Amino acid sequence: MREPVLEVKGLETVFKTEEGSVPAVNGLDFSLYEGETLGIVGESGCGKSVAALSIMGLIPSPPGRVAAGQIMYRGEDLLGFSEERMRRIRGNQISMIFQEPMTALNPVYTVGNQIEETFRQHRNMSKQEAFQKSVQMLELVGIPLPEQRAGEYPHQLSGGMRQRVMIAMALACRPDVLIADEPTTALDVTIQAQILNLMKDLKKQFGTTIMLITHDLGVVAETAANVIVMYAGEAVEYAGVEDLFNAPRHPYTEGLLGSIPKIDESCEMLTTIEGVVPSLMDMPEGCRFHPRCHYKKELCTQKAPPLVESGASRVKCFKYTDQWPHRNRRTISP
Amino acid sequence: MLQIYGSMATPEPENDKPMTDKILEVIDLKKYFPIKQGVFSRTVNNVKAVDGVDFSIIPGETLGLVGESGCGKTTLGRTILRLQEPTAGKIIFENQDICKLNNADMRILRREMQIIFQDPYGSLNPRMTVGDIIGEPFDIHGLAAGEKRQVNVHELLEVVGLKADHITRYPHEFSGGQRQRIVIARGLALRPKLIICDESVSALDVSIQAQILNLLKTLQKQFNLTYLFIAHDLSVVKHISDRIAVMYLGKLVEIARKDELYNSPCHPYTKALLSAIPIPRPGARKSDFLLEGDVPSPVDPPHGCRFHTRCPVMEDLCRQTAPELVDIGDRHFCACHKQKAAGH
Amino acid sequence: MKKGHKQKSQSFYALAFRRFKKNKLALWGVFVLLSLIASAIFAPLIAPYDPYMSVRNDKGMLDILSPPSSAHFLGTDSVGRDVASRLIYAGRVSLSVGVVAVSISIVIGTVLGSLAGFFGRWVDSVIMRGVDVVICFPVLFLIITISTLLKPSIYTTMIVIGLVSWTNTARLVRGEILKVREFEFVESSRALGARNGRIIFRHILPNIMAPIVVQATLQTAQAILIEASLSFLGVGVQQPIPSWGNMLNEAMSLTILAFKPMIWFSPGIAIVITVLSINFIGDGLRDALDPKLGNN
Repeated sequence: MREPVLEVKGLETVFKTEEGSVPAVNGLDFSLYEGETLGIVGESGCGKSVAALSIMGLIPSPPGRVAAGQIMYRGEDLLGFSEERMRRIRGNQISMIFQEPMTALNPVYTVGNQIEETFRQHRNMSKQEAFQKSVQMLELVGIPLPEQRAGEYPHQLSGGMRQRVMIAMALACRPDVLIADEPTTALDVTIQAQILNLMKDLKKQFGTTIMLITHDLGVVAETAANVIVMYAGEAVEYAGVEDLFNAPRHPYTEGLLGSIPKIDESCEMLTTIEGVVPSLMDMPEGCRFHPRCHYKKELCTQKAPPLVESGASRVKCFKYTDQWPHRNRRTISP
Repeated sequence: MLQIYGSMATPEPENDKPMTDKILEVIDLKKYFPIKQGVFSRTVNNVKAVDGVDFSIIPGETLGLVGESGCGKTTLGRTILRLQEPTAGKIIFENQDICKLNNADMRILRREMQIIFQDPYGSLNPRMTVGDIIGEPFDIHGLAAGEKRQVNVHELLEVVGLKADHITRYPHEFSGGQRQRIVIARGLALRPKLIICDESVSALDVSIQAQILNLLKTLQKQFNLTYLFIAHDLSVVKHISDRIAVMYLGKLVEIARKDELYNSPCHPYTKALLSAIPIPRPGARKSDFLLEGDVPSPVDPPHGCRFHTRCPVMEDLCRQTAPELVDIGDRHFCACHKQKAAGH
Repeated sequence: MKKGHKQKSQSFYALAFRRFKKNKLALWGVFVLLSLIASAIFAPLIAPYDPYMSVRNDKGMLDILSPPSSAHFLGTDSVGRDVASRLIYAGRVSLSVGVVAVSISIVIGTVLGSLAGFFGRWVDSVIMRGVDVVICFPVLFLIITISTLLKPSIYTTMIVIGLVSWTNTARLVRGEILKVREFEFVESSRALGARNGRIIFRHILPNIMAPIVVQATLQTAQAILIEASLSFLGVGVQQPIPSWGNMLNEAMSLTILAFKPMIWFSPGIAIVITVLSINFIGDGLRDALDPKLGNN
């Protein structure tokens, strides 16, 4: 079996607030293999972005802190690295693109400058060489007139162009792993389609491993090979993309898929998940999803479900364990 | 199902629907924002946010309005309610041109039409209790006070699925979805006929978005509401609407019944929008019809057809003259030279 | 999981008060300031002597510049008045000058700032250019000139300080109004048919109160300092009415400066303590009222 590039084990990240500490990510495990695209989906507050920042070592501390777990990058635990060593990893071996390209770019430097910075920082290039490389990168991400654009400031570019610049910066040093946190959420659909295509092309070209964080199941279906569904700080389902969409296991995944209006289908009413995402301060006992789950049994209110295998997927739900009552009757009834 | 017709500026008699059947008719509506420069604030140019839009809505239907950011859809919604004064054109609501109304008459007419904004955080005054927020419409128009106001507020809370004891709470104690319910309750207070939903579900998580979409549909039936549903998400618009209008750079490029629009889109921009939508089913993407480039600036929109700079089927004619929005059959309106040629 | 901790509804101010209570420094400020206010109000009951009367000793002589003793625990000044009593009465003057001057400046600043922010266009231009002009003057010179022209007194001092310090408030209020005006709840009320008055008083003003309160608090400290400087220079509160500033005036004499420290040291300390406690309160209010800023 191949060694994973990145392996996250039992990650727990907590934030201190006025009302006590809040577990934003609570026991996340996954492995990311070379060349894979892993999608992490979930609604706001489910901990998907915090997980990404934890991997990058960018959790603001205080109030945040990685409380437990390991983040193994090529066999070494990133959590044990010094800040100096992490700095050399970030943008070089693991890089990240953010949702809002306007705030992620520094408004007082030209975009060329900012890409050059990456090269000069990690590759020790001369100014001249770094500039050449930057222009090449801009061209690679499909920016017309790259030499001219390199001299422009972020505010002179459109949203889609800025996101291309972000991608150019992130890929400048040919990182092993690219973490994309909602890279297309702030963009219009036609531009989103361009950016997703660009990411696919670049992936083919460089074999970059991508961790794609998004709330948009459509984007996941189009780009990811494997998917993790997160809910309230926990991963509730791990599945291949086909399995996830054709045979969702976890009731939350099922509800989520029913909630999206689909352009190629018509229905009068959407199926919904009742209620609201619980506050991290006030998590329900047992399974965190049970107050909104219509399969709920008494069991679910008492203890947290284990992560069990079901087909090729792994799912955190009692439905797929021996403890589930009347399991056989359910499968027999039409 | 609800009635799904309605016509353009020139009504066709074949349905025997008289003029009165339209709740809202917008005729050649324009809204320019002047760009001022220099010591004397001379107007040097205009942002043509809405540049000649015609459409109409009949009672009880939902007209969806889609377009990308900067296409002018939000400005259009606000201009229809005269939250921004139109530069030119007519807005006919129930047979009267509301642009001609004075402030006092306009105030009274505002009971009939409401708007629900995108941001459930910004659209509630953080210093007021939920009861006061929902009751404010009654205060403004002096319609109910004391006991009666209280009863009305309770009723509204129930209608949108909130609890009676929420009345004394403040907006910050609610989640995004609940806040949007409060906004809807407030919008319903005066029993309006027309509600403009301006990206009303865009800021919500999918599971909450589905709840609010269902609520909007239920309320529509319950109160016989007419919606103008503005959004950038075509899947959402298609789900809730009867007809869909597609807007690009201040102009409508296509209006059709939703199935018609989805199954046989006529305008290349509509086609591009449809193919750009990621479908939540692996391997479901249809033929790639990807657009190049960005939306041009509305300050200086391209001559001729505004879409020609990005259009994959552009011809010389498109560069010179702007296409008219014409009926290509079955109340499917499209503004494209290519289509016109094909139709003839 | 605390059951029902969300049951009680919490208004913005209730929440702010809860945050404020957690700020130790601000609470100390409140305690000190309340003590100062109490001593100012009850001055006649607390002060051991009449602040205007020179005290005579057993021999019937004026008790001038006597050192701290059991009878005069801060000693007496150069005309034989009890320093402690004068200090307490001076608190009345300094605090009331602070409060009245700031009230004047806040009213002017809020009204002008609101007009500029709400109506925009030429109203805005005229008012804000006016602000620019006022800001251009060197404040101390301006105050000294006006108060000399108007005949220095406690009232002139209040008015003059009020008249020159409204500019910051006006700018602040204008900026806040421009910000709040863009919120969708304002537009939503307009869509419901609300009139301007309702929009200003129900929607805009309640949402800009917090920064105004903070501004007022911090400005009180400023006003007290200006009053002290004016009185020290002799153009503020006039003798024999005691104010911390004019008590400091005595330090102009080299002998007193060198050998009678209690006479100038005590009003100096009083000013520092008052200004510090007000500033602590102001900072505490700012943190409590604006949870986005500096909370943790």
